This record gives sequence, structure tokens and C-alpha cells, in this order.
Amino acid sequence: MNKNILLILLIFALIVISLLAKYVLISENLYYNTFAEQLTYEQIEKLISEGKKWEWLGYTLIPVLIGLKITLAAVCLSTGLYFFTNRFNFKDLFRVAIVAEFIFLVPALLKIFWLAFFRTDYSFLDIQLFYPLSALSLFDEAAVQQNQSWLVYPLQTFNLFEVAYWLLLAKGVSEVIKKDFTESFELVMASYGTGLVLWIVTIMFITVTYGV
Amino acid sequence: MNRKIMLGVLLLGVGGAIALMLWQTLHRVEKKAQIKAAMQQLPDVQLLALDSVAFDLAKSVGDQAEVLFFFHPDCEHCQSEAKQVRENAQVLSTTKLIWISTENLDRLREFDEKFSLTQSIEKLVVAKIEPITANEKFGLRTFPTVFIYDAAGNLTKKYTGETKIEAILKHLPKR
Repeated sequence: MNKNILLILLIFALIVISLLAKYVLISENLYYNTFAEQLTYEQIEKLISEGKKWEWLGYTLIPVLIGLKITLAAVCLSTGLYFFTNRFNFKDLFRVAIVAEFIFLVPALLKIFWLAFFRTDYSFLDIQLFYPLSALSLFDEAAVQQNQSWLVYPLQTFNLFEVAYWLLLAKGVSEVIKKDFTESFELVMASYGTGLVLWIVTIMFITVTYGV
Repeated sequence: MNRKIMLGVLLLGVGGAIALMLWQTLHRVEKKAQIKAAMQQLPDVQLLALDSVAFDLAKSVGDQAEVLFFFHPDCEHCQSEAKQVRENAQVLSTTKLIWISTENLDRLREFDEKFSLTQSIEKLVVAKIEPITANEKFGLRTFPTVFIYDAAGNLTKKYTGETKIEAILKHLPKR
């Protein structure tokens, strides 16, 4: 399938999941339960109406953010490929990154399902922190956020779906460069892995420097 | 050969950036932990009152519960908080309230006059704090931030963002 069609499908799926999450998980009651201790009824009402006013911005940002993520992944892989084989093949690796990205639709759907049917007494913080099959799930998420907020993102990122993503990238790369899976996985680890470590450390730095 | 040099430079650059950010992160985490520990007890800091007289925060409060509001005159939520405080002057009249900002005294006087804070509540003080002190003693990032200390100077509760008066009163001794 053409990479542009794949990208459009991916963006469409992400927007649908966002709409589903909003419809299933977010309600006015959730706002009142979360903020009632600190804010007055009128302040919460204002928060809800402001949220509705700017909701469209969130959906507009989805294609921008996913496009950026896939581009960065493809840049890392292409850079690794160049040093590994003296070839630069951004276009094919961009397609590989798009295909692999589909795996992250699974935890997004799992999250909605889990919170809607099992952990039904969730708060906004739970929606923000919960990530299925992640290292963060092994700890008290709220306690980590409260005491070591800079660890939330790395612990969320370290999850089984990320491992599956790496395997999918390696499979895609092996088809592009016509090498075996093991060599391709090494290339993914070295290139995308380095980029991921840099990204995680950057987010940790920003969290600690500018976080409350 | 060129590729190897390029790879070496790239790895050095990326490795260096990771190492630097990681070191800075761990350093700031340690600093934040120290600030958090220090603010559990009402810090001994110098403030400047609206009459330009310096005073010591811990000494001025004495043996009573106090509420510190950290604000910025231009912050809408701080202005809304000031209105709430003024409207609940009666209920808050027995509590020491200290409105603190890093802005200059003229701006604080304007803010006080606009919202009639010191006029409405006798025990309310508006004062300036040095930015470096605000950061090192309270780790301030957001306005408004509300700190509630009990009579012994122990931190009872910290609220980040606008806070309704009922939430503050919940943590003060019953009259």
C-alpha cells in the first residue's frame, strides 16, 4: 500500500481513538470529581467550557505530532543505514516507520477499554499516567508522579509495545536493505535506540527544569 | 574514512548531549528534593513590605497559622484569587495572610489598591520577595501557589493554581 495512504489511515485511526476516548472516558462528572476539592463549581464550569472551546486544536495537532514522530524515527534509521551501508534511503524507511507505528493503536485502545470497564474510578491523572504493560504500571503511578515526576515518561516508554515496535522496525528495515533480521535489529537498536535515549533524556530534562 | 569520522563526531555529540542533560537532570532533582524538604517548615526569609520596610517572614508570623499566596499582578487567576479573598474577608479575618510576589513594590501597591486586600483584612500583608529566594526556598514555578502552614510553622498543604477559600479553610484551625 502507498505510504501516503498508510499515513492517512494512521492519522484517521488516531483521531477516531481520540474521539472514542473523549466520548467514553471524559465526562463533566470527571471534571467535578477531579477539581471539586480545589475549585468552585463556577470555576469548574469555566474549565469545561474552555476545554470544549479548544478541543479542535487537539485533533489538529494529531497529524502534526505523528508526522514529526515518524519523520524523526525515519531520520534515525536513515542515519544508521548510511553509516552501516553507505546508502541513504529516507523514503522507504519513512514507510517502515509508518507501518510500525500502527502497533501503538493497541495500547491506546487497551487503555480506553481498561479504564471504561475495569478501573472505573479513574481520575484525569489516571488517564494521563496509565499505560498498559509498561514499567510504570509496576509502581504506584500517582506516587511516582508526586515524588519523581521526571521518571514517569521513561517508565511509560519502557513497555512491551515499544519492544514490538522495535521488532516491526527491524522487520521493515531487513526488507529494505535485504539483510537478515538480526543485523537489521542491530541497526535499529543503534540508530533508533540512540535517538530514543536522546529523546527520553530531553523530556526528563524539560520535566525537571520547567515542571511544577 | 570520512564516514567513520562523521560517525565519531555524531556519537560524541549525541553522547555528550545525553550525558550533559542527564547530569543536569539529576542535579536539579537533588536540588528540588532539598527545596521540598526545606519548605516543610516555614522558611526564614526576608521580605519587603509595601512601606519598603524589610521584615523576617518566620518572625512576623509568630505562633499562628498562616497562608502564603505567591502571585503575579498580571496573572488572571491571581486576580480572581484576590477577589475571592476580599469577598471572604470576614471568614479569613483571624488568619495571617501573606501575599508575596517577585514584582517591584509599585506594582504590588497597585495590585493591593485595586483589590483592596490590606484594606479588607487587617492581618493581610502584601510583600516583595527576591526571585532567587522565591526559587531557592519555595521552588516556585506557577502562580498562584498557596502554602498553608500551621501554628508550629509546619506545611499543612500546598495548592498549585487558583484555590477556593473553602479548600484553604479546611486546613486551618477551627475558630
